[in-house]
Amino acid sequence: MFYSGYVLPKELFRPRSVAVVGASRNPEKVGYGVFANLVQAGYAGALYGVNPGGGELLGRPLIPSIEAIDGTVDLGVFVVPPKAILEGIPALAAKGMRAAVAISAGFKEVGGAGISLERDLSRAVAAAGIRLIGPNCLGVIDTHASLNASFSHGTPPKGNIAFFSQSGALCTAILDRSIGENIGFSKVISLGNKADVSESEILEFLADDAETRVIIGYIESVDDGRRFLRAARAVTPRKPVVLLKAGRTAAGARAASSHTGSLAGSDNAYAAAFLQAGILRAETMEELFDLALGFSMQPVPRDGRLLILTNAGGPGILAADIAERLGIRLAELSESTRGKILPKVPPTASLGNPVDIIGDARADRYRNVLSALADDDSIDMVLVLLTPQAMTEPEETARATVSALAGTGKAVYASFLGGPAVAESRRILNAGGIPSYIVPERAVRTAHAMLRYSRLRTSDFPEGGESAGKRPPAAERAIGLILASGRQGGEEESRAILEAYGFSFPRHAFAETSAAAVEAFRSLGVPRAVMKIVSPQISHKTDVGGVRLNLSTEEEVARAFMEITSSVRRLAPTVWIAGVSVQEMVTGGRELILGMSRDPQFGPLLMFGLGGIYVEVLKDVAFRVAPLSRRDAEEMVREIRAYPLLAAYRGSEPADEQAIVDALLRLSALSCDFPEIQELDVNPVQVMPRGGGLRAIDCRISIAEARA
Amino acid sequence: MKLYIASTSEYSGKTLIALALGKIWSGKGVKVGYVKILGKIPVAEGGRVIDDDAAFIARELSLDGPPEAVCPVVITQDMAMAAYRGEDLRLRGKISAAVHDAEARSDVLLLGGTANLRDGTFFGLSPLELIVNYDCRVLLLDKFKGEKSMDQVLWAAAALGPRLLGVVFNRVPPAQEAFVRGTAAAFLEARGVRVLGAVPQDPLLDSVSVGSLVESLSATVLCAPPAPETMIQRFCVGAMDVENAFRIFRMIPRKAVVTGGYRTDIQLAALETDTVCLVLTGGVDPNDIILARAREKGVAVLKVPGDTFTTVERFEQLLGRLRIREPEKVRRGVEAVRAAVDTDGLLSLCRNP
Repeated sequence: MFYSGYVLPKELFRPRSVAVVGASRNPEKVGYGVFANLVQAGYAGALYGVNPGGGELLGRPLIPSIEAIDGTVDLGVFVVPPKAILEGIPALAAKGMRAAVAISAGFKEVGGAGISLERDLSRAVAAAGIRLIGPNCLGVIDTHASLNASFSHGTPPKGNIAFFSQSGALCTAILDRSIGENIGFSKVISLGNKADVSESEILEFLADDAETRVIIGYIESVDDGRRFLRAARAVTPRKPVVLLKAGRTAAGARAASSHTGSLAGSDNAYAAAFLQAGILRAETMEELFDLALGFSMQPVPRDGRLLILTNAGGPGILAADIAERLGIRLAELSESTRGKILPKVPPTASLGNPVDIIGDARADRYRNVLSALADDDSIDMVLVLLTPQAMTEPEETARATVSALAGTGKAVYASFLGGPAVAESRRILNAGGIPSYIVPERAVRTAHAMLRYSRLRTSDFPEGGESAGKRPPAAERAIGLILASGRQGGEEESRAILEAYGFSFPRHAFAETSAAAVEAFRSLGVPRAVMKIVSPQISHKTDVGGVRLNLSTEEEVARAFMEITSSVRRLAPTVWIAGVSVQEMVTGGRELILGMSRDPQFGPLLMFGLGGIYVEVLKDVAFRVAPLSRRDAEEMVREIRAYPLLAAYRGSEPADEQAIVDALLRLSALSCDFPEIQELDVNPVQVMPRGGGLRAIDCRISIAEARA
Repeated sequence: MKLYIASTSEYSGKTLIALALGKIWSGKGVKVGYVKILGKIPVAEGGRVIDDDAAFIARELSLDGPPEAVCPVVITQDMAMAAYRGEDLRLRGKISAAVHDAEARSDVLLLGGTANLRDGTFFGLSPLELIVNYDCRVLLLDKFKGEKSMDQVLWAAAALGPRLLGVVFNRVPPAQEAFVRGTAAAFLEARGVRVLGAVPQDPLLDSVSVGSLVESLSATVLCAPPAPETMIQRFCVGAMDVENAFRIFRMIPRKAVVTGGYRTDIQLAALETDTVCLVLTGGVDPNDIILARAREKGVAVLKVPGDTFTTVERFEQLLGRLRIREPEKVRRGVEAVRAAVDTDGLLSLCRNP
């Protein structure tokens, strides 16, 4: 990727003048749609439509060429074929253009010649000293500047949600919906092929945008994972960022790769990076919208105590269930609040949480209870539920909900259940700044996401233990050996590398013959031994019968030597057998797996899980992108579902959690120090009871030439 | 009478020839014995190491006696290390005892040789020396490879002299059969080398049974084949998109398809075509539909922990170096030798060199 490197100019969204190159009088053409949107959104600056045919469009004269424009141009919008864009950029730059939007397709996404055209476009942009959005995009919108330089169907209302998207089609879908539901946007940016401006820069730009309160986005891939991580870390403490990332599954990732032409990287890496950067991830478009509305309309909750107010038992219980499952605390009414509410509700009302003011509640009962809640400091979030009975007053209740808690700093959400009976009340809620959800579950999930954000924001992003840049000589030598003999490290070399990073292995001795193996067993003086084949050509030792456990006599050791070496000679007749390794058999620990694989976008991706079925069958693993901070490592350990197994249970001592955290940090340093390491598995690792440390039992490292 | 079965390279079919000659000649009332001089396929069993091939032939030919009788020396890691250190391995005595003992009990004693006429020298067992010391006749086997084969055979003929009774070309591709029987045979005959047969290549003999595949790959059986000896003839990697997979899969009969456990599309395509076995990589279980369909169609489904690349590497190591174990292969192999080799001529040559 080729970045021109200039900071995004303010003229991208606040141009004093705009030229639409390719403005068309044919209403079926994109060049018409863009020009018409600029006119109809009420853009107040100078607007030039460039079309060689000349004539008039929507009451404005069309100019036959760029050269014929009389005046300066801040923003150029291109709706012409690729070659014409390449010519138009220097021409408009000569008129003072600072930023451009290339809407036209026909670049990288079509392959072949399109790829070199896109490279030419990047060069032209850099040479002209401008910044460019696109190509192959919908365009950009800034509602607060009445700028709609896109071919969207209509212009969304003003608002505080900024939306960027790698998919133009998704932009139009979301915009159309927002117009229908009166949801306001500050800016909309369709990124297209990202020939110049990337999602990372847009994030940084929106962080400083005064009209934007929440940033939402749809991405299929990021171009430079590490840069994205840095950008997001700088933005999320200031504003919430909610992203919908496509390509979760292998099928989705394949589709994303063929759509964007870039390796998608693993979803595990994205999930980890989002977590480490404080980005909230939406699973669906619905959730993206739900969270956008919540952040857009309500304050970020100070703390996590939720009060549910309802006129019906069922929905209240449903909401409480979800809250509980997500780990949200239900608030308890204070004595004084209780005292205020009691005289205003019938004796059958329930003053627990949910507060159930029963089916005949009219708007005034809701209003009375809500205003009582306003002064209760033990409540941070309020969810107002309503089901429409004959006597219910949905609209009046909506108005009461809007006014009663305004300015209290409490986050308020509503879910008025039903159809036509509550349609108008939902409109009132939204217009009044209360996000309204058709089912309680979505309201609770939104509250939960906002709560998570408030916690993320209050804790700084720890700087990871970026490596000191020192490469221990012992590890350097072992890497050299592996490189010289192929790409797959044998156990000896892999062990040397890990030992250089403080991993300890069971005591072991190498033996070439059965007599030497017996001698090794004797000199180790351990009650029980493990024997493993040593051959640089064998990576899966058990597959060729190359491992024996639980050897406790010299006879067993001698026999194991014969069995192991015979089995390998038979099943892998072409490999060279160096001998066997006789090792102390480590017992009394719990089995773990630590690993690293290098993600094409985010770099080293560290993995942690409990060994055996927990990883293989249950896929119970935690991922983070290196470098890890201590907090990252601690979270990794606690994140797995099997974490309770590391604590004391059934009479066993708790495991040495601190040692696991240290090991993860050292693996992180190793992965950063040696970019040649492509993959690394320490599997299994035994973690001993607290204070006992870790013992790595087996390991594998594979190497590639370091990328420049 | 001792007939040493020599070959120009490994995996040229010595075991099959020995087995076939044993069966065919016994059928004519000849007492046939067998000793494999140097075992290289060790199986550790009950504290001792026996050779897998020799034990198999002993069973097939109903030869009595302990494993040492058919294979007095099996190479172990200990033995190899001792040889490096120049220790006296005292192997000759063991071999002589086995040979003399077996000879006394048979009309014709077949001696299974090593991979080529040099193989074994490291252990002090030079094949050429052994042939002279035990006063053997020699049958030479060669996996036909055109001019390279001519080089190998002519060199061996010069080294063996009149002890060489003749040569059998094995695994001859069908397109080259006429050439081998005509042009190549005429060339060798003109130089005093008798060509006793040309055994055509047989996909079945090169195939592997699902059972031995399970062993070689250390695979988990998710859906058992109709019988462990169900044969696989070809391997196919399912890494392409599904349209191409269909086209390719249709062309390849009795195949095993290696593909990722999550590639349901490829698995379905494989099950729609003539597939014997699915090998699913990455330790991923297939979905239930695949298993149900496989069960219905009698297709074996195996799961291996390694990735597709590693698994294919292991497959490739297997191909062309498969041992004959399954009854179907034994029958077929013996019939092929009976049809293509002048076993009667060879027998009379043995008796009256």
